[in-house]
Amino acid sequence: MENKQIAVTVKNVSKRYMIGGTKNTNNTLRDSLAGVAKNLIRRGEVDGEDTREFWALKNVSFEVYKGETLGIIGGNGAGKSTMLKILSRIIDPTNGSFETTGRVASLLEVGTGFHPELTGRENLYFNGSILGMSHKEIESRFQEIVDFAEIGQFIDTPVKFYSSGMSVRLGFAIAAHLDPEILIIDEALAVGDVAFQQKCIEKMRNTARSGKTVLFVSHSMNIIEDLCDRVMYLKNGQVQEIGNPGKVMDTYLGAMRKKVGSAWKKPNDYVDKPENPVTPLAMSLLDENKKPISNYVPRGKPVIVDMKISVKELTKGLSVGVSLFDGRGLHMYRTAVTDLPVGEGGVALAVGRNHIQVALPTDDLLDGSFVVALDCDVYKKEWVHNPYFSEMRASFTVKEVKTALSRPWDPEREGAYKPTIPWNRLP
Amino acid sequence: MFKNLYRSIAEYRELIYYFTWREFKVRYKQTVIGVLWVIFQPLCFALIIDLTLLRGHNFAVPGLQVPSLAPVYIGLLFWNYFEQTINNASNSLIGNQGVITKVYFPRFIPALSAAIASLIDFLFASILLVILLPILMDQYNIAGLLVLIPCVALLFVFAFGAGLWLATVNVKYRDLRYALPFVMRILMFASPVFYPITFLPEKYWWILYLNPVTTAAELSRHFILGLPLHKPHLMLLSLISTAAALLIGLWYFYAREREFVDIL
Repeated sequence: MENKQIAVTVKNVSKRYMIGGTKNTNNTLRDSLAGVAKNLIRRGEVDGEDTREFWALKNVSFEVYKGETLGIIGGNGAGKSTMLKILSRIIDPTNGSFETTGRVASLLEVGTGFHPELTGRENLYFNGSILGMSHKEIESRFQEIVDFAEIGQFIDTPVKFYSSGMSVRLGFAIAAHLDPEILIIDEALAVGDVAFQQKCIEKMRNTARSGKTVLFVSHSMNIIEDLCDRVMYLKNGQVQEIGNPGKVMDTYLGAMRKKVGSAWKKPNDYVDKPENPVTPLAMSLLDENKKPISNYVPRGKPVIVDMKISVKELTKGLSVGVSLFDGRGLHMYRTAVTDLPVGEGGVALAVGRNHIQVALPTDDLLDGSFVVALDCDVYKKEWVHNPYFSEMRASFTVKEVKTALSRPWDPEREGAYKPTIPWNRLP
Repeated sequence: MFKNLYRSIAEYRELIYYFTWREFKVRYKQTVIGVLWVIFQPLCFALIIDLTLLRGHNFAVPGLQVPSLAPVYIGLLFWNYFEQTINNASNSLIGNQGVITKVYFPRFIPALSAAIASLIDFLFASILLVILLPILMDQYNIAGLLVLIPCVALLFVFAFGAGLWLATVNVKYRDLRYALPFVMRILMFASPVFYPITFLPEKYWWILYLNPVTTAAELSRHFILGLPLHKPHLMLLSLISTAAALLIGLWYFYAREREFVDIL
C-alpha cells in the first residue's frame, strides 16, 4: 500500500444544504422581499423556523489509489451522490478540500444533454464533447461507439424517435468510450435490458482492469462485489467503514437488517431527495383482524402490509410496490400497485397522501422470519426507492400451527417455498 | 477574472463550438424556411414601421434622399441581435439545467455560445442588407458595411456581460422571465431603432447613447447610408456602459458561480 500512487485525496469534506431556504422558497423576488420584511419586523431573532440545515456530508476523508476501483454504498440520503458530485466539480464542498490527479470524467447520468430534436450523430458529438472528449477522439471512436450502442442505421434519426432503450444504449456507449484517468460513475447501470447491462458490466470490468481509477456508486451488491477492490460505506454523511468489499458489505447488510422492526415510520430527520415523486411515510404489518402483528403469523393467514405514502407527482410509469425477502436475504418476489388493472386489484395513486394495503399470502412460506420492503420505481428508469437498500422495512415471522394435515418435517423443509402441490401416479 | 475567463475559453474552445453549433441547429430544426426567418422577420417589421409610423418622420436630411426602410432595417438588424442574445443568454443557465447539474464545465459557456450563435443570424440578416441597398438607395457606401463588424462586436460584449448577469440572477429569481420581455420592449422604444435620434430632444440623447445599440445604429447609418452623425462624442458613453456591463456581469457571475447548482 505504501508505494501506491494516490489518485484522489478527500480531506474533511462537508456539504451543507439549507432546506427550505435556498431550494424551495426565495425563488421569486416576492419571496425575497417578504423575507426582508419579515426580518425587519423580527430583527435580531434567529431565522430558525423556515430554514433548516442539512449536512449531506460530514468530515469525509478518504483516499483512492491509482488504478483502484472504489465502490460507495449506503442507504438513501447517505451522501453518496453528493460525494460524487463534489468530486466531479459540479458542486463545491462547504468545508474541506479534495484533490484529483489526472483527467476526471463523471458519468452521473446516461445521455446527459441529449436533445430530442437532434439526431443520434449530432447528440453523440455534443454529449462526447461535454463529457470531455476532444473532437479528434470522437471522430476516431465514432464507429466503435455506434457499434457498441447497436444503433446502426438509426444514427441519423432524431433521438425523439428512439426507444428509451436506444437512447440509454447510445448514452452509455459514449460514456464507455471516454478515456479518462479517473472515472466517476453513479448507478448508470440500472437501466437498459439485461443483455445490454451484461455488456456494460463487461466494459466496466475492462475499464477497471486497464489501470483506470474508478469511483462507483451502485445499489447492486453483485456488481459492487464483482468490480470493486475496496468499498466505502457511508451513513448519514459520514464514512462508517472503508476497506475489503466482503467485510464492508457485511457490516452494511447487518446494519440494514438490525434496523428492521415490525413497523416502519418516517424518522423526523429523514430527508427524501427533492426530485423523488413519492415519499413513504409509514408502513406497518397487520394481521387479518387489522391489528398489528405482535407475535407471529400462523401459516395460511395473510400479512396485511399497511402503507401511507405521500405522492408529489404522478410521473409516467410510476409504481409503488413491496418486495418480500426471506431470512437469508433472498428476494422472493415483488408485487406492485400497477400489476393488475385499476379496480381489479390494481390501485390508482393520487397526488397527496395515499393509504394503501396489500395482503400477502403466507400459505407457501416456510417457518422463519421474512422482511417486507417498500419500494418505488418509475418504469425503465432507476429506482426511486430501491427494495434492496430501502429503509422502509418491516419483518414478520411465520410459524406452523399444527393441524391434522401437518407433518413433522414441515418446518424444516428445504428450499425457499413450501407450496402444496397435488401429485398423480399414472397407471 | 479575465485571466480565468481566457484560460477557460482556451481550454474549452471545442465545447464552446459544440454548444454554439447545437444552439444554432436546434433553433431551426423542423422549420420549413429555416434560417430565412432571420431575414423575413426584420424585413416585415421594418416594412410595417415604414408604412405606419414613419410616414411623417422619415430619415431624410436636406440634400440626401433616404427611404426610411434602409435606416430602419439597419436599426432592427442590431436590435434583433441585441435582444436575441440577451434573451438567450439570460436563459442559458436555467435552460441547460440538466447538463449543469450533471457535468462540470465553465458555466459561462452557454451564455457565450448564445452570443456567438446569434452572430450567425446577424450574418444572414446582413446579407439581406447588401441585397437591399442597391434596390433602395441611389448612392451608398459599400465599404461602409465594414463598420458592422466593430458595431456588432460592441453589442456582443454588452449583451454577453448583461446576459451573464441576468442568467445568474435568473437562477435565483425566476421573476426575470416575466420582467425581461417587458424591459426589452421599453428599451426598444427608448432606442433610435426605428426612428432617427433627432426625433427626441437633444438633452435626452446621452441617455440613448448609454445603450450601445444607439451607437451601432448611428455609426452604420452614417458610414453606409451617409446620414449625418449626431454628437458623436456621446458614443463614448456606449463604450463605458459596455465595459461596465461586461465587468459587472463577469464579477457577479464569478461571485455566484459556485452556488448555482445548489439552487438550480
